[in-house]
Amino acid sequence: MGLLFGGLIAFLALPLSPLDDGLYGRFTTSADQVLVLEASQPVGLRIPSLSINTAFGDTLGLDDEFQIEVPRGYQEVGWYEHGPTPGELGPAVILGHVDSYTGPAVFYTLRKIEEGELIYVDRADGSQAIFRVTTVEDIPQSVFPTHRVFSDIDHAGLRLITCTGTYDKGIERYSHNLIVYAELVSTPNQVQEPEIIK
Amino acid sequence: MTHNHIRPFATVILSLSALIFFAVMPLFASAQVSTTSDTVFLQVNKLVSPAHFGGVLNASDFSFTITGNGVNQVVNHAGIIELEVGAYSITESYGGSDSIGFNPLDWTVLWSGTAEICYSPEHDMSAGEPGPILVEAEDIGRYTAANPARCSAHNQFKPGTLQVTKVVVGTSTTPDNFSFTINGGTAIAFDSSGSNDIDVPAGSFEIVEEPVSGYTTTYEGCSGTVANNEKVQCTITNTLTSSIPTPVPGCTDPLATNYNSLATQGDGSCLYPSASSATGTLVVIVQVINDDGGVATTSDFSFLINGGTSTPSNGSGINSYVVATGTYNVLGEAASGYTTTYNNCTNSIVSEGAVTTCTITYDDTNGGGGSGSSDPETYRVEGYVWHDDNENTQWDGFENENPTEDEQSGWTVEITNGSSTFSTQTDESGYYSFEVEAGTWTITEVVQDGWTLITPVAGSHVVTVPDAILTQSFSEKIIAFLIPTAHAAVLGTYGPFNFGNNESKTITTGGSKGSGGCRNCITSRGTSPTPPLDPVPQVLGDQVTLVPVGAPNAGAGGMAPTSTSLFDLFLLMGSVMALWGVRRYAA
Repeated sequence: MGLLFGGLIAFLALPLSPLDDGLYGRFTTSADQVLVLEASQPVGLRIPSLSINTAFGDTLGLDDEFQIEVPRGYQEVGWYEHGPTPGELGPAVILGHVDSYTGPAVFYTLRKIEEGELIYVDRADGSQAIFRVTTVEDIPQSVFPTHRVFSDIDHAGLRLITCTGTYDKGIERYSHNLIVYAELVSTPNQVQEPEIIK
Repeated sequence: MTHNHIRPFATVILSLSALIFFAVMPLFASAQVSTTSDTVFLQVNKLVSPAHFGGVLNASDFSFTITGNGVNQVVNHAGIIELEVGAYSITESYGGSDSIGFNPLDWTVLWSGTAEICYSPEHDMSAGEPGPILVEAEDIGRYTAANPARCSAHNQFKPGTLQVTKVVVGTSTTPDNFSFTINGGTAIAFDSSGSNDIDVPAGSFEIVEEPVSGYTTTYEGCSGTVANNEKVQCTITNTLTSSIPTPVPGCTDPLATNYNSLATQGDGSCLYPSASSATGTLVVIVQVINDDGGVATTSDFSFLINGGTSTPSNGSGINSYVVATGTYNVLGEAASGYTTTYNNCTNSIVSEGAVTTCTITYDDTNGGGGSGSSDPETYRVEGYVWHDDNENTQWDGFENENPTEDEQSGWTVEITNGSSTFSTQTDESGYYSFEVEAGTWTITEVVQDGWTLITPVAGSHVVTVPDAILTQSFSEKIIAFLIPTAHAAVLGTYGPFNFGNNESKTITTGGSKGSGGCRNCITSRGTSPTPPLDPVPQVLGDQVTLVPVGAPNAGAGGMAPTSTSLFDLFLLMGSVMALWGVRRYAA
């Protein structure tokens, strides 16, 4: 009977406000007030300014030569599984194709993105992480900035990567990579952007 | 005794508690069922960005009105509403103070949230239009009070628009010969219509025309401020002043030994045979060899004496000058399609009364494009220019030799290896070709006004001959082997390197979900040449546990693979059957 009462009390005490917890992912704030989310895999990516609205395919790992895999589909994107999930502290890396033999792929228009535009990532826990573009980099593949893309950072970052430049049919490779750097700025249950202290 | 009294009392209390519990629980259960059996819970949120609203607005200043399906209800930020199956509209209202004087019409509302209910590509609630909410039967039970669906509104200011108009007076020169800058930015060419609409952030602006000689320029409304969602007119008028001839620099003194009768502006290059200095004669001979299809004449080439003014050769190719004795260097200006060689043109000594001759020889090179002559050891690079009307980067029907999209004739296509550049134009079928020597060549087209290059994405094709993949079909190789004279001049054909263009408009992501296949990206990983790589992953910290080496290769350009000809198919089938027969015989 005590258990029944306890259950009743617990039932009545359940929070009904979705703002309290969970629905958008639990926010954690570290000592220096950096906005981060708990781990949750991405399921959807949307960039309204470019009319990009796509899903995530299989997660991306490394191949036998320690090179990052690329998405199998051309209208979907892939998240690099050996890094943080979008919203977690660190650089979350997402790849998408720019084109294929049959035409434009999901990141065909990514080269048009501009600093300040917003990127929305839907996550498996039902939360949504919103990133703001800070930098767009067009860099030769021969000098790919591994440190800048993959090394530790003091905030929740996002990197969108695709190919650009000149396509050399002989070696079947583009000359450049387009890298979009963004940082977490807000989620739907935040009425104002947090002040990020770095 | 006490215990005897307490036990019955406890028994009664517990019994009553149980009675109350079992009586109340069904009510709760019933209440839950009644509120979730035919409705969904939807939460409406407001995103306020300080960058967009000056940091003075709060989410609580906004409310939302949801109408439709018998509902007309106002919901505040973070409020939750129950909705039955059906379609609804949601509009945003602002109820806060107007302290910053903003106008809701100045922005658009972007929506995000739960897919299918609040947002989907087919129901994009943007551009300030009432947003659709669609609740379907399958949503019932999925979105509860504890886990509601959500719609979130995010506002973005509409840009201001500068309408820049060009007026040209006194000449038939078209507006697209002029260009202008906004706040010192990149030059923008006028449309042929003479009017450009440019979206800009709200704020001050100044429009300045790029300098044009021979015209006076006046501005009207071309500086000031533009507000969000405001359109400002700027008119730039150019009036032809007169036929002001373009100055011709050179020596304008008839007494000078290098007097140029055509020069109208002295440039300090005059040479004088002073009384104390002796003179001689410097003869510059310009010689042109057109044995590879070139058509230039001597007067098409220019040279410089001692770094002076560029001087075109006369038609005879013999250019004689009386000059002071001394040392002279003559440099011929480079010309596309010609190699330049010199004889006695460096540190040539002109002695008193003597004649010193410098000879510059221009020899045309092969590979001049079009269908001209071809020498041995050349390779044909070819392709088409077409109107990619649906921007799918494919020349629809091309594979079946029945294109449904138009070819584009008269378009200029260029090919260069860095040192030599050739140009040609597409014929009536949109076809072009070059015959080039071995090397790596970059092919580009000159995009005509009003058009946008759709494919290749990179803007150009790069081909290495003869190392690249030879697109000559197997049957063509057989024919070339059997009838060698048919392919004697051209060792191989590479292409088609096609260029697809469409009339200028915004390019959007094309293709359907799941379509296509990037053969290169998947199958070539680990086999295609890659930039210099570290042999093992680097350790850069704790956040990324395994760091890749090298750059990802996410894309595959070029054209669609060519189809196998019927003849090739027969050859392939024949080979398979023959092999099958051999295996049976061996068995």
